[in-house]
Amino acid sequence: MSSPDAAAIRPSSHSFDLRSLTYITHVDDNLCCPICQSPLVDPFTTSCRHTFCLACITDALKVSKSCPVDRSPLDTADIKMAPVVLANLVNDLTVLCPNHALGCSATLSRGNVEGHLKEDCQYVTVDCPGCGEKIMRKDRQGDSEDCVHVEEACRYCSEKHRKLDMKSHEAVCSAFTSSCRHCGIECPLSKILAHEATCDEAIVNCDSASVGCPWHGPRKESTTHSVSCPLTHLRPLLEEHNSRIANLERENKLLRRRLEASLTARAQTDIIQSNTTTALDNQTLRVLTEQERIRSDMERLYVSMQELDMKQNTLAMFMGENMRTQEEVAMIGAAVNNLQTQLHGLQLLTIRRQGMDQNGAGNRSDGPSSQVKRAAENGVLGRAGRECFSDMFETRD
Amino acid sequence: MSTFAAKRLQKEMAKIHQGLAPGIFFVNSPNLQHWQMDIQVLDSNPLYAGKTFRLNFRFSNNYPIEAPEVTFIRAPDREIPMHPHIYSNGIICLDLLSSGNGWSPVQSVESVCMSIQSMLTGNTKNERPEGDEAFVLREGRSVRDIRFVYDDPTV
Repeated sequence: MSSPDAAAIRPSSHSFDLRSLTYITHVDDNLCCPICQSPLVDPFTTSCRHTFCLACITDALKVSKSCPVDRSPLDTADIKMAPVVLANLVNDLTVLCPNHALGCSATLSRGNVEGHLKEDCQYVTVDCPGCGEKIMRKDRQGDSEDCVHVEEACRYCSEKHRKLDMKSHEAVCSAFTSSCRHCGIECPLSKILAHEATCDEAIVNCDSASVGCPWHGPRKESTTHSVSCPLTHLRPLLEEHNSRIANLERENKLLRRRLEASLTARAQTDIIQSNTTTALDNQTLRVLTEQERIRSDMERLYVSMQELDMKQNTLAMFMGENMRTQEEVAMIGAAVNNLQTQLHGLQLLTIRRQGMDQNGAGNRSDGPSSQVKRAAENGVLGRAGRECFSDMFETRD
Repeated sequence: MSTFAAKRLQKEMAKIHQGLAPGIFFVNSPNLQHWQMDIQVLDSNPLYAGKTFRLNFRFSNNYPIEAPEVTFIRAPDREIPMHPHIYSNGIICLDLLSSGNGWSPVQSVESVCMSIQSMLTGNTKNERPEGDEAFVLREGRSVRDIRFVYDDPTV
């Protein structure tokens, strides 16, 4: 596979046809050659970019010089090695050893198949070192150079067999014996196990061993023992009891498990309930505290409301007082006005009297009192003024 | 039979058991080299409507490099379809079935059946090929030996 030229690589570069391998896992259809429909072996790509096994496309081109997929004209010179990544992908697929049918159980990646066949596989046909006849590798006796087809005598029966067949012969050889462990009788290897199962000398337990008989001895004596063994008669009863006890134990175990389960469930509900109660208590407590706080708040509010009431009353009182004071002030104001008017009138009078004094005695009849009188008549003087001057008017009149 | 051809046919058989295109049925295979398939024409072509035809496949050691021998055969309730390229002895004149002509190793039993199915679907002539009687009389020849001249591009 070093050269990309198809002509340089013949399908025969493999020791056998890799296309006939059995794959263990499902292989993606895209990794399969359209001709053999098996995973690609030595993938080669055409100039029209279709990929086939080198052997498949070479064979196909011998029959028809066109691409099997799109029928475009094609020649051996037009095919090139496919990218290495594709070859790696298909060489990593796991396959059964080609000698699977013969007995080899190896599974390996496809790239290692040839190495396995060359070195390891015991089911490969190799030349017999002696006569050159084809034999399986496993039948070659190690590295010995002896011909496996030479007949030799069996070690046990002296029958003549080929070296090749000796193993299979020994398995059935009637003379290849082994002695019984109990009675020492010689018996062919193939029958020794069957013999030991019935050997009279074999040490066996009493049939009632299961219900507590401690006796054990050679099989031939077991019959006489079982006749005298007290447990033989009791055995059916004891066995029945045993089975009943076993049943009861099983039932007990089941019930206990159920009880435990229900207890656990119960405990869980209890926990949940107690949790709920605590939660409820907490809630009530919170509500009560809240209520208490609200009550004290209310009381505080009531007190402050009373205070406010008192204050309002005082304020009303003050306001009444204030009104009275205002009235008084107004009266005082009015009195002051009166006094001012009177004062003004008096000033005028004074000024007129001074003027008359300067003019002489002639005008005496028309004194200040007549001026005041006129003023009073004219309403110039207010009530207070009139009161003040009333004495004067009376004296004058 | 070569392991190569056997392997390929086993693969096709496995695929067939997973399912086939509509109107194509596997009948039996007495051995790996010899298969029988049934085909039906799916549309309402009056020539073939409601009928089923049996195909006989024979594979050489060199399959799929070499084309299989495919012929129609008679069986109970199975006749040879009327077609200008199908002789009354069941031999089919189709370039697809000839190595070195229309055959490609990429083809399979199923794809051959589909090609023959569409060849019937497209036909409107209720007739046998020219010289059918004379051709059928010269029996005993292997289908492989017949050199057809594929001159009709309409089928």
